[in-house]
Amino acid sequence: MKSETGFDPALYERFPTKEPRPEDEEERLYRPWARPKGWEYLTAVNNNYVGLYYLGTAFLFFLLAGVLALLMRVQLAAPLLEVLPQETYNQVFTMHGTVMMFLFAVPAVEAAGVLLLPQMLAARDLPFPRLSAYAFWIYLVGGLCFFASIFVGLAPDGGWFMYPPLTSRAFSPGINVDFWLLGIGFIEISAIAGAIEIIVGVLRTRAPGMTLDKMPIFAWAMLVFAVMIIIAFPSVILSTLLLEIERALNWPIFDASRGGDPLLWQHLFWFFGHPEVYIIFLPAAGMMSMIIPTVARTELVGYRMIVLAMLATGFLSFGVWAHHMFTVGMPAMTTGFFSAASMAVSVPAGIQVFSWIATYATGKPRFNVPGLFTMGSVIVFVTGGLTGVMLALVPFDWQAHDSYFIVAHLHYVLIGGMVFPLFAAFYYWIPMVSRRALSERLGKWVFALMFVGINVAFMPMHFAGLMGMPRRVYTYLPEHGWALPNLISTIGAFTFAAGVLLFLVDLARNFRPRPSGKAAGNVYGAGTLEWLPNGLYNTRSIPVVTSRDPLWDDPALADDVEQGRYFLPGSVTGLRETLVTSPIRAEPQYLQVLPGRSAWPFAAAIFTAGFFLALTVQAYAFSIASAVFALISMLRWLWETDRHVPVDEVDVGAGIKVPTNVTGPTSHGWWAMIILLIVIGMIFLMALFSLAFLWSNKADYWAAPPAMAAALPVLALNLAAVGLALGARRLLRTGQGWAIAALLAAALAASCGLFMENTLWRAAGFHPEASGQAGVTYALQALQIAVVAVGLLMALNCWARSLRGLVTMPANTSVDLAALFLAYVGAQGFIAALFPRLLGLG
Amino acid sequence: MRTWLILLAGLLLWTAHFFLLYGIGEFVGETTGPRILVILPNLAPAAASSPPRRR
Repeated sequence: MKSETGFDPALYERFPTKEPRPEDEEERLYRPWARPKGWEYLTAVNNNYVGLYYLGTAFLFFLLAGVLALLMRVQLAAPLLEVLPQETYNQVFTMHGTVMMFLFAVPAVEAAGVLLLPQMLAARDLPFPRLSAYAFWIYLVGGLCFFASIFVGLAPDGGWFMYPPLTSRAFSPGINVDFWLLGIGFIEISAIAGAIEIIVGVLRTRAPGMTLDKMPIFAWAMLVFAVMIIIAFPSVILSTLLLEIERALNWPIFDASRGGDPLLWQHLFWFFGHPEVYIIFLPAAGMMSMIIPTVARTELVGYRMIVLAMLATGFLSFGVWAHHMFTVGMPAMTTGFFSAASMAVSVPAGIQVFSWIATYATGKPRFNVPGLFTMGSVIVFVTGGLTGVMLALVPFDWQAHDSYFIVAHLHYVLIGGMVFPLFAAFYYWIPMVSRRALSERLGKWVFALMFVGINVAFMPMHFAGLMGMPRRVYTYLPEHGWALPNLISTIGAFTFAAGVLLFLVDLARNFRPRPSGKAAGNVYGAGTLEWLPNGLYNTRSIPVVTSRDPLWDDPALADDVEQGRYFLPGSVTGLRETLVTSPIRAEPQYLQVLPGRSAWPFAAAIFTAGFFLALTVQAYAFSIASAVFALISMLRWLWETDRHVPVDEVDVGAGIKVPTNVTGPTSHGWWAMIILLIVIGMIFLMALFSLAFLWSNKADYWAAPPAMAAALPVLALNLAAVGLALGARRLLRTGQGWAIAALLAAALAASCGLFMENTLWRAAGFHPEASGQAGVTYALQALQIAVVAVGLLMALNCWARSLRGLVTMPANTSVDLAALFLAYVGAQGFIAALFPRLLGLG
Repeated sequence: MRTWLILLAGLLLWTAHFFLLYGIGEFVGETTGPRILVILPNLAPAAASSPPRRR
């Protein structure tokens, strides 16, 4: 067998070990993971707690948004009802869509990842537990405050995709839109933090031997999901930032009368918005691919085809965004490309559906509740998929656009593709964390009510849409003939809600207080590692994986793992630890000491949410104070990490030794930084696209930029920043003094470059309020200010750490990552100076 | 691994191809020149995927 890292795979044969384990070993393992008490639950960072908190909160938002949906259905049950005034109705449909998409769907699948992945991969935890905790708290606090806006009549009311000019200051003067734009800010931070955690977790903390080809399909799905977030979310970050800038500072980025373009918003929003559908669908499909083989009692048919289909979905989903814009008058040729891609994306989805059907066909399916939900999901999702193919045809889309046909289509896709699999997952995985499975009897009623409910609610909407009923109307006239389908839809919606209510009853029965005991365990007889006996530290020891369904292939595995006969049966350092493995073949590389409980992620999240919310209500002093406290909390949290482990090499089981202090491309921190730089790079790339879009579509408003020759010092300073930062990485190997000096010099060079660039544009008479071109150019500079500030802070942090003797050479992650970041800052500054001038040459 | 890399390369190629086409449509225009420009990158993969000629 080939090796990826030089590790000898023959060493795996030492497991399971035969000699008896030391008596106090399990106690030593448990101690750093001990259950929190009282207020310490706020400081918990391990995935068992954070994952559950996360999932519970996401489900709460599902219920809240569901109540809003019922309010809408009551209003539309008959013509000319006045249950909700028109303005309130606008807020209700906007909040329903926003909460379902941003506060329920994405966080719910991310939560499932945080909760399940360490168990499936047999890791002790994900590699950045404090980041997970921060992502959760910012989501909870921000989400609740955002939702509360509806109770005071300040909820956003421009629809969940917030098109300008409706949402520009001129047509939406209140702060409702700002609540959406800034409220979405912390959801974006939370989603991206979670995505970084998931990518590094899946690629670097798998159990030894779990090659990519043996990885659970849910882990594959979460990997593709997280990569898609990294690529797609920057676009919505930029678009919300630009619209908020336009509203707050009057920079006319989307104002057609001053050289901006509202279509730019649509491009930016849907570049995120359509992949978002697949971002939600893929993890749910991953859950289906885990549940169906267990329900059918056979191996998954077409594992590799499904993985390929998920990857293909990820790629193709970025080529379909403009099918939401077929009616805006795009060039016919472009429309054709998007139509073709929109049809093509149904192929990989079809591959997955056929694989599931084939798995059922080759196995002996059980008609238990998880099984019923997966079967229901296939039917509902395929129905939605078929109307999706219809809508990919441009002439049909022109007819159905913005009608109730679209509402029906998207609900079939999202409920079939995400909600049903999630309920299947609840029924399937709850025994893993609870003392017993949910009720089969009640569960079948839940399924029946939900399945009937969705079809009765949404099938008539196809007809209402084809009869001409536009979406988002708060009432209609009796002579339109839409009364009957609407009444049926309302009955269906309440039937669906009855199913959800019954599920809550079942859930309450299951989780009612009672003496603690072990989880019910593997009640469905599954073959994957999350069903190993587990505690707060997950599995007692980390097994060697030799197949895709290890529990089916080695019946003794669970007992051997529980007896500590595999990797890391105790805690070597007395702290929380996990084994970091190589990305492809999962060969042991080093021991990561995980950070323990901390209040700082919680504090940082509270103040970050405070910053955004205070900004929304224009309490600027409070906002600045919150930002400062958030920064202090983050620095304090980081200060406690990256500590030198006194032992350079440790025995992780059976005499196999791995290092503890690792830096550079081998370290998990380096991977996280690279992913973060991709996120920032994507935001920057979308900003460049925005400028190019205005240059192409608003030529009448385009002015010649400052001369290229004048920019040479700016370009040189940014190149110097890159050189100094890369030099710092080299100097890190020889001595810390010069390395930190080089970091500070790199930050200084980038700052000077930025200052000069800004001066040049102002001297050339460009004012950000003057045109879309100037607005986007100054927005590019604002992005540069943000990264320069972060780079400077990182350099100062390294300096402070070196003064306190915390920078231990040659392996030091803080300095290494700061150098990497500052090299990026210089490169971005270089392009930010060059690109706007290149557009002026044409 | 080699098979996976080939498949991944195919997907990357598709992405580059798609965004190239979009870029031409969005930024260059729809006159005869751009239309020919669009046909060329479509012909290349079509030629590459055609079965090898028998001798």
